[in-house]
Amino acid sequence: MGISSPSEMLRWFLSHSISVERAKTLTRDELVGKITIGEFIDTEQPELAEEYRSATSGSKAQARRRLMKVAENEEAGRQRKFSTRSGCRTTNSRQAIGCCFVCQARLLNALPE
Amino acid sequence: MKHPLMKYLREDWFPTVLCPGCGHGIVLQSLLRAIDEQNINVDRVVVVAGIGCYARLATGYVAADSMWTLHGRAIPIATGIKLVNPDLHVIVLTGDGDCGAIGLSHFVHAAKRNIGLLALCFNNGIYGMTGGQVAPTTPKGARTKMTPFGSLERPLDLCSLAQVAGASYVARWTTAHPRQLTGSIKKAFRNKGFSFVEAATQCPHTTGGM
Repeated sequence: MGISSPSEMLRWFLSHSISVERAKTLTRDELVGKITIGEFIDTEQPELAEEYRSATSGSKAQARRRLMKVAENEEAGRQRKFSTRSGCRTTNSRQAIGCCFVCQARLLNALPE
Repeated sequence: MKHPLMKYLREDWFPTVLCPGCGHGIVLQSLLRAIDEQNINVDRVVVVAGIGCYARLATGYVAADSMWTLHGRAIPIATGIKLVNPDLHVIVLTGDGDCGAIGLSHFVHAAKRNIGLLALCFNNGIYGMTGGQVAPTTPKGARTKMTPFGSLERPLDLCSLAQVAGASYVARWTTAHPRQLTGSIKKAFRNKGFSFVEAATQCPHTTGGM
């Protein structure tokens, strides 16, 4: 362009800008040196992040249920393990080991004040 | 009395590193005005930038969460941010070299995916930060350091490319049309999908010296 003044550059922008509608009537060679301005497209289309969220929400809930089940199984196994090893008062053992609410209550009562 | 948009800026980073007469400040003002007029909480805004003169706007001057990424890789990183937290307003600041050359494939695929980003392109038609080399959007016949007899190629039309690739909102204005540019950025904020707004800016320091 060879223009060094910013204000002259802005004037160049103004004088060489054409609208999108007018640009559609010109050939490719006629558009050389022109700046097409305006809105090219404004539509509504499905957005990826929303689609991703809806696609993964079912699998996330399924994964969460699976994890909960694993945790419940582990907790049940832990209780069974403690109960059989050391015994529990709720299972006719005299030693409170904190494996259930009854044991925990007994342990708390046994603590010195 | 302070400028009403100063609340979105980090004053301790001033003065700017931009050259005298640079048009990037006009584009930044349009962006901040759009954020202000749309009542967007700036704490819910993330600005991601590639490499270029404009990048300092994102990572320094705008008082929002920001990320300065590799050259051309702002869009994929912004895509990750948007997918992890879709409620954020993710703005990608990019340049004509960043978006139209090294990051072109990311740009096309983001438009194809219609991911909810706002890509704001600072198109000065030249590699300004590196000294004035020819860029994909350099106008035909323009003299640069690499094209002393004028560029022989037609410039790449990024807006037409975004439109063809599948972007849901595409607009182009110049720094001589700041109000229209603000209006388009506001529309882009309301758009759910990929929005591409190109702002043709002047670079008197490098382009004007050729």
